[in-house]
Amino acid sequence: MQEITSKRGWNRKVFDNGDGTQLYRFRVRHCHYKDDSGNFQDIDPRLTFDNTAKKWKHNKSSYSCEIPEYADEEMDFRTKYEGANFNAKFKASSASHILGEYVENGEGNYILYTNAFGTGIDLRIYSYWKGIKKVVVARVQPTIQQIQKFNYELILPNNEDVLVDDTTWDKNSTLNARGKRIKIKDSNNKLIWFNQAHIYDSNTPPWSATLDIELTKLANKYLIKKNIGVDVPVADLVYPVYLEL
Amino acid sequence: MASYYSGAGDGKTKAAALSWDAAHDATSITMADYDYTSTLATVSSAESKGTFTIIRGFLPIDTSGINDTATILSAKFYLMQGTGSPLANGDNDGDDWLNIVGQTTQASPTSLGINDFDNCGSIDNPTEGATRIDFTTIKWAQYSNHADNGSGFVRVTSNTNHTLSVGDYVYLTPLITPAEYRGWHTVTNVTDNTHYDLDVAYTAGSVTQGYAVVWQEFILNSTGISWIKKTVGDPYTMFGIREGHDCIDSSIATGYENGFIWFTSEETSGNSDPYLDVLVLQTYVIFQFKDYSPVGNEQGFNVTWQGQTNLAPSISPVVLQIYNFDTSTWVNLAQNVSSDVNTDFELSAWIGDSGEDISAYHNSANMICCRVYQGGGS
Repeated sequence: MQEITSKRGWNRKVFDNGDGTQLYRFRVRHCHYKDDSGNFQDIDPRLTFDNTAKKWKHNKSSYSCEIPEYADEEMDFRTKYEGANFNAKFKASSASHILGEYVENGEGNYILYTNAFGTGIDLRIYSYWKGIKKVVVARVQPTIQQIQKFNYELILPNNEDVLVDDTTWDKNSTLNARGKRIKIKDSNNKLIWFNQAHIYDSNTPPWSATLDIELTKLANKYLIKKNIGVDVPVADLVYPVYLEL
Repeated sequence: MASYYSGAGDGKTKAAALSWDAAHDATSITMADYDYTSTLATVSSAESKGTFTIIRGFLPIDTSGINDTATILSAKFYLMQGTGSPLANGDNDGDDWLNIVGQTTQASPTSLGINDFDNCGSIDNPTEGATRIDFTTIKWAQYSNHADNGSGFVRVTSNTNHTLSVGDYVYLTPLITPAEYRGWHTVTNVTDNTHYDLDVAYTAGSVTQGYAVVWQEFILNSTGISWIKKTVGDPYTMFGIREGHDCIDSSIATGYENGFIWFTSEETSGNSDPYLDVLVLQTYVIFQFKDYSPVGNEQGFNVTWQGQTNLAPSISPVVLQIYNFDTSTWVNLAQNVSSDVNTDFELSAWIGDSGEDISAYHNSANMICCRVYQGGGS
């Protein structure tokens, strides 16, 4: 069974069976990206370390990213998917200066910053098919002081519009986006998506809930704050507990 | 967190109520959730402490790319069971089955909303698009310990009696170390019904547990195949998935759950997301038949075809083949991947010109069968 690469699509591979039939394999998600020549290539979000830039990188998907060597440094996300021209930077400014290590296993590809938010509280930055994902892994019950460090800084160099439920945020007040998806409209009117923030534990089946997310405009950046409310039974969860943003 | 992608629209919707009918027929949902960004989704019918819960799955998939005139011979849809406890089969009364239903009418194929619960095919007796999968045939197993298989790889011991096969998957969840254990591993050897070797190196002193799960294969019937969209402008094939009691509107027994968990597409890092295989018959440009009068096995012959196509060979190769009567297969002789459209080109090949045995390429009546085909075009 030989793949006919010229028949690839975003979510499609086609194989010639050599008997007059072809097998079309459609995935629900994207399995390809377009290279600079417009040809579909296999998505490969595995990371390699750039010794010059001191960043973990990959560029074999519809976005590229630079993930920092240390937990408290800046990361970069950019995409030109279907006409987009978007760049954002993130920084876990309250994290400790912890060296990251690359992990590649059945859970995916990520940079692990062990104890980034204190003993027993790690930070993982995943690079996967559709974007980057920050996950705080609490191997032990976090203290209130540790929870308050889970905030992130977001820098939008071009001061793009921020939307929730198709309504543009005026940026004058704090935005609460619990259970909602934040979208950013770039200069080409293309949308970039932020996932809902949620928490889940290691129980079987896992306990899970969406998280309060607040967005506040500061002078030249935004503060993304995770709120773990009273509806999250921190003491009763089965650890490790995962907080995704 | 940050993504270029709006969403895939697969996931679950849930209704819960104090009676089966209220949950089953719910349109305005008061107890519900929906999910379009999580790794796992569920299909389920359940009753617990007086509350009936029904969860329905949605699986929209962009199937554009198949030629509008192509003939679909068969199709299969695959779901990978989720981790944890992927299966509950409390009410094993014959209605404990899963099936692909359709066509769904969710408001958007790229997102799933709270009001889509009653858009998963007809509420009563939705059209079924595949062969039912009985819950009792779904394999999964739980593991609580592991050992060195004698070759430095992990051998797990199952606590249950489901029999896995080489190539099935096991998901390990180490309680402490090593991190490399966590995730999917392939069964490489079956020692007996409860011991399986995996493709992961053994580490002494670690503590692990895990689950073994396999792909669930839905074989589409002619109706399910007819739902597959080929058109670029209307590209989404709208599959749903529901549990048997829910489909036939038969209340689940009190205190029981029939549930199935699968991986959605959104957050998967590996290849455990749903996929659809469609087998398509290629368009044959021409058949050629030629009499053959052998003088001896040492005598070869040349096959030449000349013609043109309106679909660029660079998009879909034009292939010349000969039939092998011994193996009952078509054998590639030559192909063209570069000629211009609507311009003559030639495919040519010699058979037996080096004195090799050519008896496989003709039958007892000395008939040789050759064909030229292209997947599309004319």
